[in-house]
Amino acid sequence: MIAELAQHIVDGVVLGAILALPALGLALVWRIAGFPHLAHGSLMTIAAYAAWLAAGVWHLPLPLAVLFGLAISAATGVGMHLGVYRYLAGRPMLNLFIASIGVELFLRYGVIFSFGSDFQTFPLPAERGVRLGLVVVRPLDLVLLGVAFGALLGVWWMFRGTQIGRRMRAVSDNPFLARLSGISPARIHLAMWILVSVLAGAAGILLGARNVISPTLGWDVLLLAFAAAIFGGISNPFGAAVGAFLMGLVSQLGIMWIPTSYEEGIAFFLIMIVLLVRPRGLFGEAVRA
Amino acid sequence: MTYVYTVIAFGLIYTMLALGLNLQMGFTGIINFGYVAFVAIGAYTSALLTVDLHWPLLAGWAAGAALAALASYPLGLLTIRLGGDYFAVVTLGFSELALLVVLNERQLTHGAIGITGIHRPFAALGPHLSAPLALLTIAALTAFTAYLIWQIGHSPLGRLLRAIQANESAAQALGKNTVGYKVLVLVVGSAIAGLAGALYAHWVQYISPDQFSPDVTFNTFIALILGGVGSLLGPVIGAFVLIFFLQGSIVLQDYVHIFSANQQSALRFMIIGLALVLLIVFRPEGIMGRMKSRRSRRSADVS
Amino acid sequence: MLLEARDIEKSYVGSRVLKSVSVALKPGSITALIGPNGAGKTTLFDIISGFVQADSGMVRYSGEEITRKPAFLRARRGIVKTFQIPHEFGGLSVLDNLLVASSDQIGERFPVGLWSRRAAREQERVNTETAYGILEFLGLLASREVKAETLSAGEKKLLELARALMLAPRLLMLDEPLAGVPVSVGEQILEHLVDIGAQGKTLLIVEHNLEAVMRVADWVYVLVDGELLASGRPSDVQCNERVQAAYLGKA
Ligand SMILES: Nc1ncnc2c1ncn2[C@@H]1O[C@H](COP(=O)(O)OP(=O)(O)O)[C@@H](O)[C@H]1O
Ligand SMILES: [Mg+2]
Repeated sequence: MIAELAQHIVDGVVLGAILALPALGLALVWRIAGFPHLAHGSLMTIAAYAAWLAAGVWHLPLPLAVLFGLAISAATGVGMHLGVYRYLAGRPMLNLFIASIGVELFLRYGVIFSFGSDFQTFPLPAERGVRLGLVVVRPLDLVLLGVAFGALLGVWWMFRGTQIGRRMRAVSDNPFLARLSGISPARIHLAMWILVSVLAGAAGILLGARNVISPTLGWDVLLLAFAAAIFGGISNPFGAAVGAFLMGLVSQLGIMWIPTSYEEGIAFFLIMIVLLVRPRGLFGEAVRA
Repeated sequence: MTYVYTVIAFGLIYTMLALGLNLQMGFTGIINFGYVAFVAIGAYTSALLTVDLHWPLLAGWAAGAALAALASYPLGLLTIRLGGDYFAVVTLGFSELALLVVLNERQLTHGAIGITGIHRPFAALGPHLSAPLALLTIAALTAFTAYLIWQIGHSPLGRLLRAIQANESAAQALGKNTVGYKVLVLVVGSAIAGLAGALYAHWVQYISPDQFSPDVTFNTFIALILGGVGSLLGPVIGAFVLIFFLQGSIVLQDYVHIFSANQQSALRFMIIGLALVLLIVFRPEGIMGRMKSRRSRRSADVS
Repeated sequence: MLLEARDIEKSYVGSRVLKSVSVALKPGSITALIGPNGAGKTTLFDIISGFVQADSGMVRYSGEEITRKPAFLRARRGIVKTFQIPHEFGGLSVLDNLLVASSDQIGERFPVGLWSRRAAREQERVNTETAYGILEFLGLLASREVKAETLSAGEKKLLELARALMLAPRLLMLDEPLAGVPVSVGEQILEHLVDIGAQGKTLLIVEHNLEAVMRVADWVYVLVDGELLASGRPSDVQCNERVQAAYLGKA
């Protein structure tokens, strides 16, 4: 029982680390571009397929394949922004929502069109779990944790150490004040989309390496990532990251009591509970009424 | 002939769906990404009551619409005041959950196998008569729904709903219970979705969970946007254009063999996605709609 | 006192916008709230009308505490405010903007309104007459059929006022009603405000045009940096040295 619990905690932490990347990105898009981005999952999926194509089909070395995957997701994100969302800035939020459904459908079925709906896996060396006290940890999971934390640290550094990062943070902290102080939005938006696409892409590749690559890889965890972002408070990107760890833990611990077939439904309950109990999220400011 | 009937029936059912969504999104600006959940509730309620419990058809339909409305009520009451973006995410989650329930509660819903043997209206009259009569019934109910929406659109209520969409705070400042009206609209729209779901179930006579994926929601969005959000005739045209496109591309599949069947169906959804994006960027008022101004959201925010 | 706000505190992340502010409005009085940009005037308005919750303090209206009442219920009780930045219903015609405002409409009820059409139409006719009167007075009658979003900034401010008047409020709160309005129309509005005051209604006005405000107001509050700097009759406040130093000097 204890061992099982410990195992679920480890799984929860790993899932949380992966979720933290898209959750942080969702919070940034939500605040800076002003809408919950429904096509965020496709960024994850596309990066995973691109990396798989490079590694599994073209037989490139893994690091190169990962870089290729990230480049493709960054290009996709920038494409979405420059090709679609940019034109809708300033229109009612409904427009952005619907456009993001369109983008999601286009990309998801584009993946199915190109790669079929079968599952794929990365050509990774076979590995043996390492026993650490009560739990068995896959070496891959340690790599995942390292990469995810590295990425979070990188964002943290960017928000402190670079000018564009500080501005991005300022806009996300308080879009109201940022607008008054005349921060130029065009460059911030572009930088933001590159950042969130790379983060989502990294998460997609990690998730694909841990499980399997499927056309709904990103979509399947999108709600959990939203739950994490709302839980942390969308005004605070690192709150979203912390939220992700909690969501990862809760959803993995949840399957000890809730039938596994309802695992994906946990996200809905988490969102509802968070919104009802603390609508501003753990670290955020009030949701506007 | 039966194929023509089915195309028309689907066109009418999507018209009804688009009408309900128009009330929510077009009039009031409520973004409901879980629309399909209410369609599924209507379809399953009516199918189960009439097949497993032998309820009369009309009672099944009424129950389907009522249960869909009932399910939307607490959801709206709890979350609609949080703002459109949160509500959209919540409803998306709700539709995923509804699908999981349908898949997993096999005792009740027959799970992935689905429900067979759902009766068509007038089934006793034999297949030659029942199909056109059932079609007429669907047409009559769709027309009634359109009439209802038209009435609302031309009443002070419709005016108020458009005001709430244009500027909710201003409506509150004038003493309007905007949250109450949004919940009302959600409930009425869900009842329409539930009725459309029930009609669908009794037309196709077999339902299973995979018929109620989020794609139904997205299809309804595109039908509405094609026709023109907020307009009154728009949903009819949008729904039929959509159905002709979907059915037409299925027919085409039998003759054109450039891509595999899987690729062709993927291509269909790629086109739908692309059409959504192009429409919203270039013609947010729809093919039929009048030019609406692209009013700036910014100016409304800074206050 | 018709309205009393006591010890109102409000902070946004990092900044105290209102520091223990108290105001009181006598029934039938015209009270002005003045102060430089960013002083917290609009925030105080929002707290009184229910659009923003104060961190602490209380609001009392006609003997009843309303600190936590939702905005729409306060409006129904007669507290009606206009927005500093016009919140017009852009896609609706000017006339419809006013008609929406009318209270207790039969045609807005569901589903009753769908079949009590005769009663709804009769009520609509009466409301339309009222609306015409208000539009005429504010010089908007000619534009009654155009969409509100096509109006000029000044006309939108007038529309904002017109809509509020439709409700025949007991306490009318106007956030910079003259900003962006042509001077001649502004003069007329001022006169009308005096009329409204004479009818026994209570007014609270935020305004930058000091000279104008001083002319119509019975009482003035001066808000600077979230603090009440002074209050009193216009002539007294005008002579107050601290006010002159902090506000009038700058203006
Ligand atoms: N939603 C908000 N978030 C952060 N700061 C705000 C917000 N609303 C107002 N403020 C700040 O509160 C202060 C007072 O604003 P306001 O009440 O609009 O002043 P006034 O109406 O006197 O010009 C300003 O410094 C403004 O920047
Ligand atoms: Mg102000």
